[in-house]
Amino acid sequence: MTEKKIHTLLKSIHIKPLTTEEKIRAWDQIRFGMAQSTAAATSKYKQETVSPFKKWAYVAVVFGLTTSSVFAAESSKPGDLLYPVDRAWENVQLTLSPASQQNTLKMNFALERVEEVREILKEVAAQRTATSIKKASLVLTGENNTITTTSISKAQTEEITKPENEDGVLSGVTTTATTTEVIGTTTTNTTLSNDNKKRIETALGTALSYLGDTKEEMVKQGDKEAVSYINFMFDQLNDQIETLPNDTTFNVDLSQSKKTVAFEVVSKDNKTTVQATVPENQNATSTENAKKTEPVSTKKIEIKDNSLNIIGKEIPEKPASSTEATSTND
Amino acid sequence: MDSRDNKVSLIEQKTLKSLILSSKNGDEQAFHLLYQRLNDPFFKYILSRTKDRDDAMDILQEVFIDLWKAFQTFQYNSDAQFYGFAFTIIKRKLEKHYKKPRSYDELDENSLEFSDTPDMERADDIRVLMTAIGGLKERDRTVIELHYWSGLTFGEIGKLINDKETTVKVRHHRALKLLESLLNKKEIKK
Repeated sequence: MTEKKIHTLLKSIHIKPLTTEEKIRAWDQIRFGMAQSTAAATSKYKQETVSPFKKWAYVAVVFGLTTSSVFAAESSKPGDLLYPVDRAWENVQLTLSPASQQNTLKMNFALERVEEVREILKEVAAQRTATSIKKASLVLTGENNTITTTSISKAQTEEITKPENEDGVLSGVTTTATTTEVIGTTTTNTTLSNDNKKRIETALGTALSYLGDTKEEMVKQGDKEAVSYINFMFDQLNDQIETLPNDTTFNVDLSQSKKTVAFEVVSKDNKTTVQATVPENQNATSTENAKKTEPVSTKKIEIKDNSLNIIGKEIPEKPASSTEATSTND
Repeated sequence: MDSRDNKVSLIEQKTLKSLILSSKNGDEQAFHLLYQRLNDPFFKYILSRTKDRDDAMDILQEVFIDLWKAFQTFQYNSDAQFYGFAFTIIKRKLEKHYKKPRSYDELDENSLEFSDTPDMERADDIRVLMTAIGGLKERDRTVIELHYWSGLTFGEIGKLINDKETTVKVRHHRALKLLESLLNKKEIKK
């Protein structure tokens, strides 16, 4: 084969470029990464360009809180006492920011809602894992090159090493050491407390409500990129939903502000997702239209054995004892 | 379809500079335009290395996210400096990728397209040629991949890998000679 033929051959081969769909998908992911980066920068912005006094002044005027309360609110999560302060501060930022930056801020807040769910699930998972350290002193018995264990565990845990027979004797060990130590772990407490269940439900309700509201607003504005971003946030939230404990039913209350946003639960390929659906005719904002499209004031979402189902289209009347999980979010 | 018809020109320096500077100031729209402009050559080069389309997409995304983050501190001097900077990020990502266990050594046929449908003999030549490219020296291989797969000119490749255009041409010529010799050896073996 000649050099010229190789050149011709090489010129005839092409690597398929990204399809339009792949480009959009990749850009969605890039935007998500950018938003995370920007969110970190925004957080820095809050601390550097807004004096603590100013921040306190804005929020304290509304809530009559102390400076330390306002600072504490920054790291609060849905269900926390100070969470409304955090949300109020977001509203202050929106009010003070120029119109051109408001959607960017809203995208950052959408990311925060998803992060809040992620953090709560992480905390709950950590609490459910009762970690204990089992310390065992191993003593060489000599004759059969076997080692016996003397457990001084402080908690009921699983066996720390294997293989180990029922008598607690490690077999087949040929060490020459006289003593050694093994640090082992752990066992898992699978019970989900009512408090933690409630925290998860509140966080999910808050996030779904915020994403739904924001998506509806972006659709009305015709900001396709923002809508695409919110859809991606839903994907992120769905990833979290998949990690929820099985065999537990979560009742997620959505905010009462939902007039035109419907939430759909879709099960496909053994994967369950929740998405907000916004009616196409967004310009028609009359009450009549809202009534026609209104499917949601409160929906019940059940998660069981990794499947997620809406129980009933709408719950017309809430039981008197039921607490509105997202009542503080609007 | 000739990929060079679709190739993204890297020559319009003024516009590229303004896109970079706007992106540096947090302009997401400008960064999106930059992505639209560069995703094609970057993706093709990355895919030629990863051999797997999904992996290539993941790396492409990471490269652009890293670029966005890096813009906070990046100081623009020239287009060539920017390309070199971007290419460094790509190489770093690829190095990280190589450390992962992989089960594929050749480009998936679905990721390739041809100017005309190759007959059996030419298809065999292509397969041998693709394998032979993998045996080239790293820098020579890069020149071949960027020139033929990403559709870049020798001048543009020079900016990316920080070589003079003439050096790139020499590398290209040397690579073709080597491929010729490798392929002829295989033909003799047949």
